[in-house]
Amino acid sequence: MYRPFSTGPRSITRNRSAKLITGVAVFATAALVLAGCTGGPDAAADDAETPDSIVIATPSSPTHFFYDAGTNVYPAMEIEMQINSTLLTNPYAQDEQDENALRQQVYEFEGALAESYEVSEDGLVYTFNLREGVVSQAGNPFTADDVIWSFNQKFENPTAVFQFVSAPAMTDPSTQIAKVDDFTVTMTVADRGYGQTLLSLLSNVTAQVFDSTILQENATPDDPFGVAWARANPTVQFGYGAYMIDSFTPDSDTTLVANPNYWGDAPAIDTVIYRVVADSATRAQSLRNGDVDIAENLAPQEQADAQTTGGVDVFSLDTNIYSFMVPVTNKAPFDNALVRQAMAYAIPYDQILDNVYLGRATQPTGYLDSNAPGYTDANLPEYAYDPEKSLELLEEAGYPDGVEYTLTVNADTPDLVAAAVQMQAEAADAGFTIDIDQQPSAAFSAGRTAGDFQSMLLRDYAITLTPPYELNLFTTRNSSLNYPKWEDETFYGLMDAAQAEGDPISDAAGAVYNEAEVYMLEQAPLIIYAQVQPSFAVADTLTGWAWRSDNWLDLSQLSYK
Amino acid sequence: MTTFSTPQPAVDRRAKAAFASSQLRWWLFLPAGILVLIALIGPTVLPYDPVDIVGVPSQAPNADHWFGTDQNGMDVFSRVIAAARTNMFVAALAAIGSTLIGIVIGVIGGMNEPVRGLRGFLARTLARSVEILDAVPAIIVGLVLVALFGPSTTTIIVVLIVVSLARQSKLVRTEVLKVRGDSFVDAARMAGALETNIMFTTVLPNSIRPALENFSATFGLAIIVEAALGFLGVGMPPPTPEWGTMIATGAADALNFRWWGAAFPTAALIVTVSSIAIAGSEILRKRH
Repeated sequence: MYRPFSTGPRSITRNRSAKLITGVAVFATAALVLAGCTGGPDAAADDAETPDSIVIATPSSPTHFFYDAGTNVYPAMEIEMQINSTLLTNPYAQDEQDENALRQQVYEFEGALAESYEVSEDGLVYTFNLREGVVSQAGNPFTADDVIWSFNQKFENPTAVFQFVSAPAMTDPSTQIAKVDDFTVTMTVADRGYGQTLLSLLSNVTAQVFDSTILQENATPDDPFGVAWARANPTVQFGYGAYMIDSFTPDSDTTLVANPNYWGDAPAIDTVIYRVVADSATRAQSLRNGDVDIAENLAPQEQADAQTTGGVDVFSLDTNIYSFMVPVTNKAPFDNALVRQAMAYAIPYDQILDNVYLGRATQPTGYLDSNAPGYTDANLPEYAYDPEKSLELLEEAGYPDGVEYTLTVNADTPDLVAAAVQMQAEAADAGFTIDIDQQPSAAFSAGRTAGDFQSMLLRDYAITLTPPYELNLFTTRNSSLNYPKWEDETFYGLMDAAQAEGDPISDAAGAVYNEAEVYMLEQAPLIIYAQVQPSFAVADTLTGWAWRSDNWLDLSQLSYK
Repeated sequence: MTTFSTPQPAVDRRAKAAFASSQLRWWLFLPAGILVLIALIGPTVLPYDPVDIVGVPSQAPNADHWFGTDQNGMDVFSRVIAAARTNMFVAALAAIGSTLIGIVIGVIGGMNEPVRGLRGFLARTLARSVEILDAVPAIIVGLVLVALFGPSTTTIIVVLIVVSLARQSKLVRTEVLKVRGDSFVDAARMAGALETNIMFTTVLPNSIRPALENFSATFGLAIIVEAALGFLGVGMPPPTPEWGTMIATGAADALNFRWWGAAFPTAALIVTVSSIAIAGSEILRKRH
């Protein structure tokens, strides 16, 4: 009889071998898992414990570090701020709302690459006395030629942002910027009222000055400013900032070290590691575990959780960050101002502030910086969740049965996705049926600029806090930043009238800018529902965190307690 | 002749007897039956609208919200039950679609592969393409298709059909390759039947049984892939109740000990797939 099974000596040996192999495999797997769990954090813990170095958990990886080379992620711009300098800078002072924070004084200026500046009596000519003896990270001496070259590049290089945000203060560097000598440069504005904006522009990242020597050495006829070369060589050094790039591993980490040639005081933190941790919950967890010293871009709930754990500082103060809805005005239904106004009454502001931001945001009274000299909130419309008002406006607009539209959100912004869900739930009672469309970051950015969406949610801010910059940022004719596609002649007329008043932070100009702000808010090309507090969480062993109008870290201010 | 002997039976006699029992173990269908019932009538008897903000976000389970509330303030119990209909309906459509399409592809391919000329070349190309599709991980196929066509219910159903039809097609093809040489097929040819008629009236009925028996596994796979796409953020648009998306959004809270947002949809997913697998196994056992 044939029997398929055998329990003779050979099968016993095979069974024992199989058990042995299985046991070895299980042990090897367990060893691998344990090694994976312990390898990374140990290294990070070592870095975090070194007194002169810190580790920062950041959400995404840069692709290059040249601000004027165009499209990049916000973490990259933060790094660009550390490795470059501007002619002027804004000083810091103790923040009045949070004792653990400093606050950038955006309406005051002090010298950086320009040691000092003077203003002519007519208020039109600004003379900058450049700091002597400064050398770039590449070792080339800083002169007026670097300033002239940098600003010419910002207008002739189509990827540089400065040309889109500098009008009307600066529109043509070839006529407005002049070299007096190797260490003196003048800038001329067409109207004395543009001066404040000019100084603000020169203090922020869009006006970074670069080492023209090394960039020109690597320029080609097809790449006259070395932009492509700089993008292809992300670790190349051509700035004058407090830090320089030591190493860069895409999608992993970027290491900065203090610049030995820095013109200012040497930073207390010598080495900074930006570690990419895509998931915000994991960033928060890493901070609580002590694997990193700073976690960026956390959701409000994660900040609250980090605080309850202890050993972490979260900052509660007013920022210039707004979360807002953009009803795109060149397509239905938001080509009708009444529909946009109706939507402004259909947003559940309080519910979003409570459920999404957990109290770490407020509903702003307007759009302009309320701390600015000359600011007034007179006659600003007060929007609140009012379904009946919304339905009345929709009926007046010719939509008695309500409106259906698609609201597009960047899938990588959880607070905006959550806000969209809140809006969808409550706007239904106000006559709006909302379909939420989540898009990946790259697709969202492309569609936002191209105007593909009916509406979208954004979280953004004006870096320069002067009324003309703030009001022009998303409304300039033909600008790629004009996301609502709103070009309104009445608004432009009001802006011209305001600019004619001169100093934008004077009371006289403030009153006219207020009229422009009122008109803009009534027309609702942007519907602002939250003014958001900082999304950082910092280990309480560190001090010197400062709020900046660009909402980036200033590593040169940080130190261990 | 060499005789071999074993000192003990290879299979326990009682297990053999149970396996060979001709009675259907009906109780093994209860879990799946209950789930189908929940999917059909559950959404009509929910305590809350599954897409309505009904409470403070991230509440722990309590008397008002049995499974707590999620990050948005929606009732987790209502969403878990509502998601049963979403997930199972989509998976059922996908399983039916992939089975039907897989059967057609399998029959056409199996009948024409051995044929010479263009017809055979196309059939063999079709068969190899199906094998390549089967070799690519389902999640990768899903991500690519969603990236191309955007996340929507229709896209998800198409994705699930595409990732599932390869297996169904191969099962049918294998049967067709066996059946096509049988005498009754030759008899049909000699009787003058057209090749197409033979394919679909003679060969197909005798070849589809493996695909039908595999339906439950296809259904379970569709649920898992659907949930996986939702977990990866490319599933149904928010706030559509769907287990994978709920697990993804709840996972972040779970790191901070707010476990209910992810735990309950995970349990629902496990119970559903297990129940379907058990029911499918019992059908297979009964058939064989």
